[in-house]
Amino acid sequence: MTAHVSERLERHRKFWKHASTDRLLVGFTIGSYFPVHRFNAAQGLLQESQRIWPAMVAVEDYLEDYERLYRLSEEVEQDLFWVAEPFTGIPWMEAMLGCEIRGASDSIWAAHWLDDLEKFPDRIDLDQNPWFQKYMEFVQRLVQHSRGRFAVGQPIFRGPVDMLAALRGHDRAVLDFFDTPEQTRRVLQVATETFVETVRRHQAAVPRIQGGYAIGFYDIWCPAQAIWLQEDSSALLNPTMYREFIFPLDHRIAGTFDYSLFHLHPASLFVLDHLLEMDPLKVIQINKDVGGPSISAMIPTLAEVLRRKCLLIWGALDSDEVAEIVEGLSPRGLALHLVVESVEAAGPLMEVIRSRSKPS
Amino acid sequence: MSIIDQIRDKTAVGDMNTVAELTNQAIADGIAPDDIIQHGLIEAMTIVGDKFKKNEIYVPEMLIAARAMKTALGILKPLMVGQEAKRLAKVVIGTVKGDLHDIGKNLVSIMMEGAGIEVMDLGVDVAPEKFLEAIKAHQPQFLAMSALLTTTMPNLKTTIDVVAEAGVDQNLKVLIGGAPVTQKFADEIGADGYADNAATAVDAIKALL
Repeated sequence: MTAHVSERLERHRKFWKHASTDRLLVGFTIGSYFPVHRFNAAQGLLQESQRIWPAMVAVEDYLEDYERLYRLSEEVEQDLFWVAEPFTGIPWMEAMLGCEIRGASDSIWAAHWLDDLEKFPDRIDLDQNPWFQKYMEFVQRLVQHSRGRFAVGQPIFRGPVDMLAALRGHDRAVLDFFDTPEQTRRVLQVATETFVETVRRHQAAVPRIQGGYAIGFYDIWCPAQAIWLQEDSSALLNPTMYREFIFPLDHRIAGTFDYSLFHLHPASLFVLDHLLEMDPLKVIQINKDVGGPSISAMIPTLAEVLRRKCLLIWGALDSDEVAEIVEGLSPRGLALHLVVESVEAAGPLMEVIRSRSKPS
Repeated sequence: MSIIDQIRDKTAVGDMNTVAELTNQAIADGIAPDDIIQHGLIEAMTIVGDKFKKNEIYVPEMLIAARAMKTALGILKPLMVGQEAKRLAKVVIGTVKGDLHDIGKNLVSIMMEGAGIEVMDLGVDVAPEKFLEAIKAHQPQFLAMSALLTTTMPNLKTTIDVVAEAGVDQNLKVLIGGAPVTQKFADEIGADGYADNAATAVDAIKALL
């Protein structure tokens, strides 16, 4: 049975303050590791090479899936509050920047199109952008459907370097930093402003929930508006490039609101020192990826993050890995979001957390 | 410093324009194209691979070095018509069906070419039947495949099974890689080799030769 809302909120407040607590903040996503598989309404989009247009994404068709996922989340004992986001399988930012969106058997992807950086506009007019209109249609309909039961948060949005890679292709994007640094900066800047403006408009359209807002996808409640980003393609840069070109843009995004989160894969941990210096950034989220490294190998890095920021660990972890986290890290400022196949699979993991935790 | 040593050093730091100038100069000086490749370009990419393995350089430095190497090869290849360049091995490479992430595969291709391995790159989202067709057509010693997603990892095994069932060259070795792929997974699906990054892919090929 899930704890009372006030207790869950109190755990969130302690998380944000790095306050003393009896255990870490914990929550679950039930179902597939891959968001696109959690939505029955999206299955028609998963056809090889099919071009997807905004009109093909019918918001009404997704409401049944949202309702099912919300109810499922309520069956699990957890601290986190389920958050609805505009269908996160769509690469929204890439679509708004002009990439063709295409289906595949297991995913939806953005095709790169920008063969010449000079062709990129100085501004994306969101009011005339059909993918932005579809995005906001999702936000507004979800707010209506929620009736105050759950928050409507931001889905996965790729950050500036990810957007550049989507526009240009990975190899070309990396070479751009050497060959045409000023044009590259311009494209990155426009992408950044589009990101910020989209989240601003999203946040302006959603009401408070439990007196605050929420970080979509990760389901973390926060006392004020929030923004989050990822830069998976930073793994293709070197630390100097990240610092010179991307850090100021990520800093700008993280500083948009009082609460912010940065998603990282272990492959991009080389930018961690920069992120730890990013003052407005509140949470660093690190995935436990299937290919490693192991939790035990990451514990020293995770502990370093916790000394300076809040930390969220996300992944499909087993009970041994959960025990390693609980026993190896302070619960102050620490959250764990576990992906499990069923409601039944969550219980034993929760038990590990409860039984092994030591107050701090 | 000899001109070949200069080509090696400038290639290793990705100075494409200087490499082009030096290559043209070496040709004008009567140096054999194959010597330029073996002692300039391949040695340069060996240096790059070693530095990458030691985390002394990152992907961008590798990419610009590869571009410099390709620039030189573009100048040298027309001069080598009718001459067989010395090749360490021949590899058919691609990302598996459903996987569109190609930079890892591209880096592996670059490092293999830089090590004197002939690479037949089938690109991304390659169906098992297409791999099989290429194996029959090119008769490589190696099939190299990558998967970046856990959802596409099973297609590594599917491809291995399709190739095995077709009964093509029994000496064909299969090498796999990609972010979620591990040595354990490679062992489980019957791959002959596994590499966790582009530089070690070349080592894996050499170990299997």
